[in-house]
Amino acid sequence: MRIEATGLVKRYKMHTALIIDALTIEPGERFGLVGNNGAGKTTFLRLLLDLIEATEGHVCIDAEVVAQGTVWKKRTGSYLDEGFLIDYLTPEEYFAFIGKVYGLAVEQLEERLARYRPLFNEEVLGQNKYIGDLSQGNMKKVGIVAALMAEPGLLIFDEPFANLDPSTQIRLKNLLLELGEKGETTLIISSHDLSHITEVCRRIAVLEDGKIVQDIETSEETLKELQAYFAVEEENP
Amino acid sequence: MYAVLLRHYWKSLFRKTAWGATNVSLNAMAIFLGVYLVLHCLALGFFADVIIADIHPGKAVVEIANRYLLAIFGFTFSMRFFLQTFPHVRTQPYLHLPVSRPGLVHFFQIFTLFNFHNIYPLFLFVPFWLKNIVGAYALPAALCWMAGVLFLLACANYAVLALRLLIGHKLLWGLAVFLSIAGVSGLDRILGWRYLEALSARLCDGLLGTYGSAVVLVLCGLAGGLYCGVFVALKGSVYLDKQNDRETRSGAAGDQRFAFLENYGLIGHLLYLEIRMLWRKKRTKQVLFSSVLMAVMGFMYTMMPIYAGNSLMRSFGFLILTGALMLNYGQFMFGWESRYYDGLLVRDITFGDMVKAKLFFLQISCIVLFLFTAPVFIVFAHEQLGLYLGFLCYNIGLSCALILSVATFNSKRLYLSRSAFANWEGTSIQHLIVVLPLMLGPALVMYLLDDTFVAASILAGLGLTSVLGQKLWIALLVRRLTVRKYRMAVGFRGTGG
Repeated sequence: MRIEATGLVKRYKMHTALIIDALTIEPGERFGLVGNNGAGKTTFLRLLLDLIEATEGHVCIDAEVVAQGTVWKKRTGSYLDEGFLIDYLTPEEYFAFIGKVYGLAVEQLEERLARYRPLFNEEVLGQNKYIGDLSQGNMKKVGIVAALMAEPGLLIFDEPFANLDPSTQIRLKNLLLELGEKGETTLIISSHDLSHITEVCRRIAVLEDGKIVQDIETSEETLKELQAYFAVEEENP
Repeated sequence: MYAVLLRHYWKSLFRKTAWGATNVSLNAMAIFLGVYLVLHCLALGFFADVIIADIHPGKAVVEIANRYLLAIFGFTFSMRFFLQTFPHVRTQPYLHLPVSRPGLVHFFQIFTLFNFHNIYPLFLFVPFWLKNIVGAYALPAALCWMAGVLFLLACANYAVLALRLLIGHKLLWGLAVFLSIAGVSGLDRILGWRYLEALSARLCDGLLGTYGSAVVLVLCGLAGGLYCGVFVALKGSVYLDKQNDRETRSGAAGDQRFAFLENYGLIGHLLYLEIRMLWRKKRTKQVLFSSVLMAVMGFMYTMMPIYAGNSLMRSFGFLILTGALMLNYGQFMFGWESRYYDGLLVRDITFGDMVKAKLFFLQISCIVLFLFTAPVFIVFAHEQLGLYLGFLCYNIGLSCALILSVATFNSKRLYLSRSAFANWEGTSIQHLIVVLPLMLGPALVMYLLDDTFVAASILAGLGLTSVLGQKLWIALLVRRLTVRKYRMAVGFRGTGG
């Protein structure tokens, strides 16, 4: 799915959280966002998902302005934070609900749950626990799997690797790479983990004070470049 | 230390996340009602002697007043039980610091005393005391009387806290205690035993008598005992795992019987979601419970002879008989889902489906309460059955839609499992204000029309018309939600971001 941000500005009173003149993410692209805290990563993702109102400009997903339509929702899977989870349901009940919303048949739902089961390390399903009682990492797994469930054309994750155990980080990375190789899914993720994000994404944008200061195709050198970039930042406050 | 805690609490009240999203006009109304109540109390306190002399000519004013003092406390107790909010002190940020944990509990308990429900009665008692007791009695006796009243207030304060804690932990026990208090005091009045009056007279005359200081000591001991009881109950809650309402799946068994709703499409799913929320979260469950008690109060307002001529109170009574849950729960219909509102917005769930599910839920709640209260009504007050049914239609048709419109104004995050000592924010005076406009219309109809059949028909007609125009209501609500989408989402995130 094709994403276009045009003249996008988000301002909170006097503080400008995000300014993006023009940004296009092509279908099937794996797009990464990096930046320090407060750089505007989550703000951008929330604008993409129409969770906050843009002060100026707009975002289009497949030529549909997100704030004006809902067709994009059927083909978009996302997980930003725990605010996406219904904490008083068990994971199974939550997946059933998500399946209904995306119009999945019961067999389809079960088949997909079985597919993603390895991500859970036998800790989430069949535990008779509410989502609200799971650990942070396990909650994140539930959210990520719920986003993957509908096999959407666009996947949006905020910090997908944070809080996950090492095995799941690796599994998730491989899964995202696999999806990316097929070329049917556009992936947008933000992360503080430079090595993971350079491995998964083909294109990386560096955000600073709400502006995209670098937009690079990943190569062998990207990780080092990014590390150098953020290290310099630290030395010259 | 307590000064620091107090400052933190003060800041939490006035800073953006807590304050920014609350409704200013609602607060203004609450303040107005508060001032009105205080003025009422002042007038009553100053002119109590005139009023008593008018009703009981030739009797000693203080003697009569003493007889009814406990009844006044009883009345304010029921008001407290439903309306008193306890300060929402978050303890988690202090637990890892070198702060005394019992100190936190003491802070909370002492802090509960500075509540409107403890202060407005003083506007009644102090003027009465100054005018009728100071001067008429010896100074020590007068002081004992005042001290007794203050300790009684403290007792009421901690008794409410204790009762709510009991309900929170052991629902059935709490229910038993509440019903036995209500039952005994009700029987005392209906059967004319008047034990309460005798006890009140004994106690308060005792305060003025030779052994006044001993009676004060007894009351002080009673308040202290309740304070200690509450302290013991709360002591454990300074551990993290005790604060969040962690519940295992066992609680979920009760709502599995509604799983059939999943066969009715997305709206069925959403409806099932509402039921599970109501059943599984401690706080929503408390609202459910207090709503059922409130509905029971409806019998009192509609059946007791003292309210026979009071169309306002009767209207309120009829309204809550079938609509208590709808009124209490419905005004936060969107706020209950604040924790995962973002998650609903990014999915393909239209506002139309959301509104329909919520509207059905509220309407069904009215019907369920109707099924529970109807038998009592048929047996004991069948002559009022017409009005009762009229109000049922009015509630299902009009009140549900209106209360849902009110709910769209609430964009404050509700913390359903956040750590606090007594997480009971179900209702407060602000929340009852919403009921006023709903009860005024029917009250006016009942006041103007002597013929209850005509009044009932008008109410039923209003309700049924509204049901027929339900599509219009849904369209209006959808438009309202669309307009307020971002503002509600920001408020529900609770971070201002």
